[in-house]
Amino acid sequence: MTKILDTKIDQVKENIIEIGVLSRNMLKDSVLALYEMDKDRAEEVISRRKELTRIKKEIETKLIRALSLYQPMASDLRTILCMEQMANSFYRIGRNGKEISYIVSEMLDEDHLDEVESICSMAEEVDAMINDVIEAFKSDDTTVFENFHNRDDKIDKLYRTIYSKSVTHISEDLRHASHCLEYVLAARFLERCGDHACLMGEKIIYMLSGEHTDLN
Amino acid sequence: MDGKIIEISTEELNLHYGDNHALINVDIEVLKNRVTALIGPSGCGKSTLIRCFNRMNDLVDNCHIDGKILFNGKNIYDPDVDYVLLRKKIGMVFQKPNPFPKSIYDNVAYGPKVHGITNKKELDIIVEDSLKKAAIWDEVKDRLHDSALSLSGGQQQRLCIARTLAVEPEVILMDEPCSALDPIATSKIEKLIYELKKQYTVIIVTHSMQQAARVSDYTGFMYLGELIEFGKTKQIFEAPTHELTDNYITGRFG
Repeated sequence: MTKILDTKIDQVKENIIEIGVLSRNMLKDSVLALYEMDKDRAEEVISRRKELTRIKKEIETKLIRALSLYQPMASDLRTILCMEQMANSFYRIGRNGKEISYIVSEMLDEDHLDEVESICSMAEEVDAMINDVIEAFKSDDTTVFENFHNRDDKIDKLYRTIYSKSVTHISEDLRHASHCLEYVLAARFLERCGDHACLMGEKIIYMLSGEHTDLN
Repeated sequence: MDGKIIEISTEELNLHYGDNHALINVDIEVLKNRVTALIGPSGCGKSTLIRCFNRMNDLVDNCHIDGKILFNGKNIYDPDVDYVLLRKKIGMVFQKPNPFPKSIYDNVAYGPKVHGITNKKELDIIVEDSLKKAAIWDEVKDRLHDSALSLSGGQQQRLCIARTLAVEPEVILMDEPCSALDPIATSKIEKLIYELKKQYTVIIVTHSMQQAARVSDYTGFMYLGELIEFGKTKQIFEAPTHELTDNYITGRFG
């Protein structure tokens, strides 16, 4: 039997996928803007923040209504808790994309140092993880999360590489300080996004099985 | 289970009403000083099951029971069991409040009198004590000799609980005790159930999922005469293991 709550939950699921795709693109495009030092692209990413906030608020309103009117239990309750976390995590990912774009808009027009390659590798892995989260949420298939732990480790290692390279570059030549700080900041934002992907993976597993796991 | 004391348990309990197989291989362990809720759609056997615990089904024609029901380790269907004494130990509160058409005092004193207590002072103490435990003393202490039927539905139900407590039971069976009550009276009964478990073992049948979740420590889900799933209430309502349980709790059937 389908219930009114099922319809409400399905509507929020669509919103989750919507905010997922939006935030994923914001992050991806912000790193592209960084790589190409494209300030126009960065501005355009920043402008998407309003839509990001709008969807997040819409999801929150719908979830509060579902909780107060239907008092969901068991799998319904877990689905709602999962979606609440996902809305939050995707919102943070989108905001981190916005923050990286701010960095780009303030960047001096100088050649990149080689850290930027590591940032691109990080971004690729984070983007793939976010995409996997969205797909797992759509398909109820959690097998992809089995190696999230290793993928998150890889992201953390890249972050530490960028950090130490930047320290070296600054100590060699202080004129690199501005760029290097920007790399470290951007890498830090990306590393946080990897954590959010793991957090969402944990919640999707919880939604489907009721089990609490630790992916990172 | 958790190293706690088992008060009532069943072993391969089967019950037939004529050709109707109403309980099928039910194995359940009810823990002492805990609240156990039984949930499930109408006709699933939950009321039939609690009625077995104080042999209320003996009164039903064509009712045939196989298997064991152990109360403190003793099979209650053994021939040497005194079922009057059993029902004193295992009291029951019904869906609709059913006070006797007597005074409030006499309703509570009736049971102890039947069991041989005649001393007025002793009865006074029992009545006061029982009404206090049922959280209704303050509301009725000045009109103990008014008719019980002058009370509101919620008060009548608490009076019935006091009447049950007066004969010093060990277990209290409650068959949808709040279904005829408004939310305020319901919340008083629920608070009372929470208090009662310190001293008694409570088994409650309820159609309200939220009520089962609020008041019980353990929950059993029954469907078509079978105990489908039994476990800690927090587990049953957060992550039941059986799909049928999940479907029922989330309102997909029933």
